Amino acid sequence: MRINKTQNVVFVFIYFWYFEILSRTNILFLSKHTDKMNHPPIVRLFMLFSLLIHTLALASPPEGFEKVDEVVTISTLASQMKYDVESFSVKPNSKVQIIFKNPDSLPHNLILCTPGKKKGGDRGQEVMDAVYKLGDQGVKMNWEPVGHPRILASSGMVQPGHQKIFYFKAPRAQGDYPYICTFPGHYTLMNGLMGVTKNSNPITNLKYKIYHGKWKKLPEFSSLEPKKEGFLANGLFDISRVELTDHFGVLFTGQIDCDKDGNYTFNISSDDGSQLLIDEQVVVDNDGLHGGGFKSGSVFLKQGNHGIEVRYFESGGQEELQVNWSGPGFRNKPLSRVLPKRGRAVKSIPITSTNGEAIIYRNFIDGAGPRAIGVGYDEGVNLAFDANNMRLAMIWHGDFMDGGRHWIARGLGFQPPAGNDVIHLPEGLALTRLDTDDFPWPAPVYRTEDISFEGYTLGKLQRPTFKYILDEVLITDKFIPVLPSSEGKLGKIRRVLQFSGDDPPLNLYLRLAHGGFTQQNGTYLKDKLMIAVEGGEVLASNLDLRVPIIFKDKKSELEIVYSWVE
Amino acid sequence: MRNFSFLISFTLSTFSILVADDRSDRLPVESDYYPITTLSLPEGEVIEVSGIDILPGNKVAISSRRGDIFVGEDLFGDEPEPKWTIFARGLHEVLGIAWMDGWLYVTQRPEVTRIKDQDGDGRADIFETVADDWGINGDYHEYAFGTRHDKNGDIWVILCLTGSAKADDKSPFRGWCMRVTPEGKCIPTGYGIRSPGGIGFNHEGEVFYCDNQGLWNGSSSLKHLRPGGFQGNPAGNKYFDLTDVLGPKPPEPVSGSRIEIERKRLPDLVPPPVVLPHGKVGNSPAGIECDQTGGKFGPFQNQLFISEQTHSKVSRVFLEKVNGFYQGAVFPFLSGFGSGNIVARFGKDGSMLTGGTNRGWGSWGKKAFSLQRVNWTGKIPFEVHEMRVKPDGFELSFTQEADAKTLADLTSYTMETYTYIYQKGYGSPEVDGTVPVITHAIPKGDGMGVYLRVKGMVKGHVHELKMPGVRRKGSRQPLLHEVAYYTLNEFPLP
Repeated sequence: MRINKTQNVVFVFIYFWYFEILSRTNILFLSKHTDKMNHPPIVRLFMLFSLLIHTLALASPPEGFEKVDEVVTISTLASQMKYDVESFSVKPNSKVQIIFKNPDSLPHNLILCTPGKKKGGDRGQEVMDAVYKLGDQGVKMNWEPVGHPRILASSGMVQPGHQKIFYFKAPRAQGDYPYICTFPGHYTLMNGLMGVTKNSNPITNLKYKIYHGKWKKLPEFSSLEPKKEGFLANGLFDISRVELTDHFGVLFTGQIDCDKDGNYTFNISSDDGSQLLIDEQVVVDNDGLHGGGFKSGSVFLKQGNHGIEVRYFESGGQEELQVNWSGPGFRNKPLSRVLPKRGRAVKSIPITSTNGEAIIYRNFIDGAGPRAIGVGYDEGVNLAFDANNMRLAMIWHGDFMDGGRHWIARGLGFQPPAGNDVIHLPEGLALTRLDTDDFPWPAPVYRTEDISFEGYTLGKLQRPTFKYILDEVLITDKFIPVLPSSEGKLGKIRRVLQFSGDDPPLNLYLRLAHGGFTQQNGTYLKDKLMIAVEGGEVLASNLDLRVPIIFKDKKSELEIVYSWVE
Repeated sequence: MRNFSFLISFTLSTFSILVADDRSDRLPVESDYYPITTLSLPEGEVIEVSGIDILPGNKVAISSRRGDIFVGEDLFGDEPEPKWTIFARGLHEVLGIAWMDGWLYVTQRPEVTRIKDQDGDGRADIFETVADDWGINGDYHEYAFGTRHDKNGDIWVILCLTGSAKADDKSPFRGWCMRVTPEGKCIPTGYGIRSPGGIGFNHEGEVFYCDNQGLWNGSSSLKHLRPGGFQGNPAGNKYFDLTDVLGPKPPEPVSGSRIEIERKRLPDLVPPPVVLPHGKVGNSPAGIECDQTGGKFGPFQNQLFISEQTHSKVSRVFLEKVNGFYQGAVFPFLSGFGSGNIVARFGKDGSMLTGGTNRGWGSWGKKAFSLQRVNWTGKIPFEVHEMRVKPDGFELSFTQEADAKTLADLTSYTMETYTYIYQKGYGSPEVDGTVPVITHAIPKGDGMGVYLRVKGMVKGHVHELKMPGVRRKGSRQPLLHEVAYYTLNEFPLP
């Protein structure tokens, strides 16, 4: 890729210097209120003049470019509407010579653009928009919107079978600089990225593909559909483009340029597994579920370009990918972008009750659905109510919830409880009408249409009493935390359910739990859960713990105590 | 040759600098007319302001994306020192609050809830579900934005698509507008919404919302929620299976077409009254607030102010009704807010409270969240006041008298038109561009307006008018904002 021979220069223009001056004058002429450039005649004249000069071929490199820092050869690929190099990197302020070859049967150009303001870059779209605005002038202007503030350097139109060499000084600002062919119709396929980075890197055409999935070791990526893909112009392995923090994999492929024949050592640290391949041979195998820590492998490589591939996956928890290499005359040069240690990880924002009050968190809670209402009590017990099905979904003790997932960035996904001994109560309806005591309980639905959620009232200590209506029966569902009986013990949750309706149904049942229970002194035990009921008869039926709701004077009341087996 | 070119370029650029310096006297800036004051928020709280309403006693309620509601006093003085109390906590991403008859109505993701402080301790203790006839599935994009009460006491709720692209069976009525009556009835009122950023009324009580560029939405736009209207994205059409309130399921638009073409096929399709050209006017339009301050906020009575999240701006919209359809122009208004603007609300004193967040989608304003206040200094900015379409041109009025000579000079103006591809894919570049010719510029006698006769206006296109040459009378002062974007969906009859 990089050629150290002097080339015969057929065409030269110092775009960089020219555009710097142009943009300076533009700044002065741009009205504060205009969005676009509106050149006064004098600037237009100046631009025309520059254009005239630029069309005259000069025979040698421009002053200051007799010696360049980087030589990059980019060729079009015949009949493919593509550049052979789709990403490369240079150092800030370096002097760059581009040899642009066009063996294709169509004319092409290569215009380097500044990154633009759009977040994540626009791949030079703005310049392309300007090309389309040239209209009838387009052909005459060789499809180049000369003077566009985002153009950094240009090859001009190169006819089939020709080549052009041009020079520019790389910008000072690090970033991804798109390059495009502005011949109409070519842009969407003919584009690439020049990374300007302090460590100009030996890897070109570095492509990433992101996959989603849960794995314990590296999957066969080639059989999976990537969720996202793109180029890393700075030539550094980088997992920051992944939007997930868990359950993803990334496949990186590119070419690495070796200056000399020699032994090269690759080092890779990853959380979780990874592999590094050179020319399709595994050089470092760091697969499996584990934390960070370097593994190494060596290989003899000839001077020139070699295929490099890094396969990486992350299961849960922290994630990390670091790669570096050593070779003739250098040691441990980084090949990956060093991220601030878990800077983008979901930070913890504990949600805690204060002043003896309860705290409410309505959000997507794992185990209680999208319409969950979490309640954390100062007494150290917590619950989540599912307002899609009017059921107590979970109880747990200790920490209540962590707001980090939903309160940082866009708030992706469901957040599980933060505390301990989470007990999941049965899914689906908790209250329903049954034909008989032992009639099968209806299968869970996503959201019930039988019961409507009416809201809640908050008592003095911000403790909610939920309200819902089933067949014109109003149900108030009050939860009261109970302090532990002694230090070192866990608290309990007392629940008071009140039913009232003018024409109450005779066959209403509440399901408290599901699964194999044992009974002990009027309490029911299953794993960690202990339930005691007052004011109702408990039936064990179909593996359910059911309580028929018996109305007296159009009312019924039931008290349940939930606690943990200690 | 090379040295010669350097010399020429250098000489020309030096000359250019001199020319530029010649016009460097200070021109007025936005803050000369509309300074922005940052209001302090309670320490230690993260209040990504997502809703603002005025309560009795000139108190102000603000809601946050974290789901809290605070009530503040003393926000309107010269040196405001707001005092805040917590009213409610832990609601689900509140995007709209409205005070009525002792209740605060809150639009949160799964429901409209009304809340009240019954025992008078300053904190809400009753939370009543008013309506919840739509679903959520846990996708963060399934936002619900709600209005204040309309003249019938209804709250209009608009529901973002699942992932801003799909309509999940588990979360019905994504992409629809639901009207919630005081009795808690939920009436499907419109469909075709993609990813709204805010909703509000014009002075006639009609409901508008902003939809963001994306699938089936070439550019972000201000849209009119005409009852029964289709706003352009067919992803939510599947829910016609769940209701017959809006009749049978309509046919789908053709991808790659134009709104102007498809509206002939799809009678429900409401063309966007004002396209907010993507990247020019903003990237993420949000809340809508109508100036009904009676002049306390300046000369823009009955115009709409649109919050813009990405650019941390507020834009101004003039609307007129042509052949039964709203259409009009958007103008830049005020920039430089602290965070990403989401909502605005006028106080009784005619100042505008603005709130924002940059979480999830960045903003030019670098604060994570902010509450600010815009006051009018009483000085009238030199602006286009209204831009109305005529059968053969546009009629502009100004807030101040303009210089008749520059008004009459055709070189004072440039105009181009364009539209967007109406397609299934994400957004669209500006396409089908034309350059109409302004053939006459006829000032109104007093310089308060100008009539531009235009040859080559295009139905269905944004008409981007620039007026760099227009000057204020007796001054070299240009318009404070020299650009206007008029969306021409309908030609008036001659």
